Amino acid sequence: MTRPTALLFLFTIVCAVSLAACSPTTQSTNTDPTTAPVAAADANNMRSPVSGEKMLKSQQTYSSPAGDEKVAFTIYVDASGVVTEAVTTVEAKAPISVTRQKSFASELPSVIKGKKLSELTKIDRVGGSSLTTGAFNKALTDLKTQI
Amino acid sequence: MFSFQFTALGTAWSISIDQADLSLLAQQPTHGLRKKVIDQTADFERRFSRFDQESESRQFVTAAAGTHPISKRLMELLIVADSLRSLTDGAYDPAVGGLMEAAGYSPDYTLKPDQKKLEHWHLPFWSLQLTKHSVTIDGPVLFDFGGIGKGYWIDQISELLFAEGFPHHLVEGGGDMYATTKADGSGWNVAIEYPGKTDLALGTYALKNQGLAASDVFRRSWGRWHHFVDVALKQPTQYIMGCVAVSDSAWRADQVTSVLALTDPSVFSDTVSRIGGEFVVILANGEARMSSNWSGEIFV
Repeated sequence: MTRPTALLFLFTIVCAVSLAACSPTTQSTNTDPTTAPVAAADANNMRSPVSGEKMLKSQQTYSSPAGDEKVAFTIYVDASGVVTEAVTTVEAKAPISVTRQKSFASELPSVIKGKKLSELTKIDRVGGSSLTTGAFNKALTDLKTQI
Repeated sequence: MFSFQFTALGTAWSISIDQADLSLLAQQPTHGLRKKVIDQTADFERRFSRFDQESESRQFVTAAAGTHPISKRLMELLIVADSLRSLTDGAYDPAVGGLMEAAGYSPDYTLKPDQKKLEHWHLPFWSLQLTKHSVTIDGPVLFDFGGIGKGYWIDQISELLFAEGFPHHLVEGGGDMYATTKADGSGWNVAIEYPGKTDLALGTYALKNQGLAASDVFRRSWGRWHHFVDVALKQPTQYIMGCVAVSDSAWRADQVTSVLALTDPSVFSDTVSRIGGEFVVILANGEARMSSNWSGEIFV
């Protein structure tokens, strides 16, 4: 699945899956592509688009057992049309809806770059899939035993 | 810090013990401890490894349909396996053993899928009779507990270390582990290997009385097969590249990774919440998903 397709997919499943048992009966979309910097509604998780980047915002209303709720999405698209970042802004009122929106926000697709193991310090052990790590950990614990 | 290593259950094991008073540690009969851990692990392997011809996992390979008594320990493993079978709508099933062997992952390690055997294999049905300490089967069945057997045993070693007077320890078996706190109350810092990239860490986690399990499709793979197999579809799953889970025990963490490997990403959260734990998953397309309660560090 390409990243833009993944995002479209996410938009369609957001009410059905992550917000559990809520049907998007009163969906209203006001997507507004713009290249101008937009004031962030939530300074904690939104930023201004960088040069050549587009910021697209969308607010959705859906019916939940706790009443109508809102959730907002912001996606950043670079000059070649690749989605570079997606942010969910929690706008729900009912506590259960807030919890579910927060849970969804943290599970948005992201890419983990990682760090070289050799650059990490103060590590007691390496966790991972079997076989080679065993040998790696043996070397590590051997060194620690000598301290 | 006192550490020792050994090989069992087809992988490398490391035990580390932290003690505030190192001189006290020196007085403890650690050689006796080492022997106990290694002997009991060898015994567990003899009893439950699919690769041991005399094991309880293989005891029904030629059995007739009917109800057969089982040991307390096999019952413990099958009870959890049964709950995972329900959670995954049957995608996880320890009766997968026969399919793994037909695919070539057998005691003689042919690693050559036998198409005839694969076509003829059907999933054996089994159900537990809790009050009778028995299992009812519809014919021959070969059990393979996969990662949850290892997680179970990691926790058992931890209990042994407590009983022997070493309350601050880390038990690791092939990259899965359980860690108490260190003697000074701090956690054990664990780097988490990025699936398929042995020199890269995707993050770190300070374990404190917690278990960690990781699994990926790169190790234990052969041809188009790897060890995440959907028994209903009779083929390896394609959802994820790898995953890591943290829970209150190594056994539970292993249950989470077993379920993640066989579950559609859209139901990760719901499914894992029924076991209990935190997770990070690298999907087949390279994207990452993490649970909202993940409290380790991630290198984005």
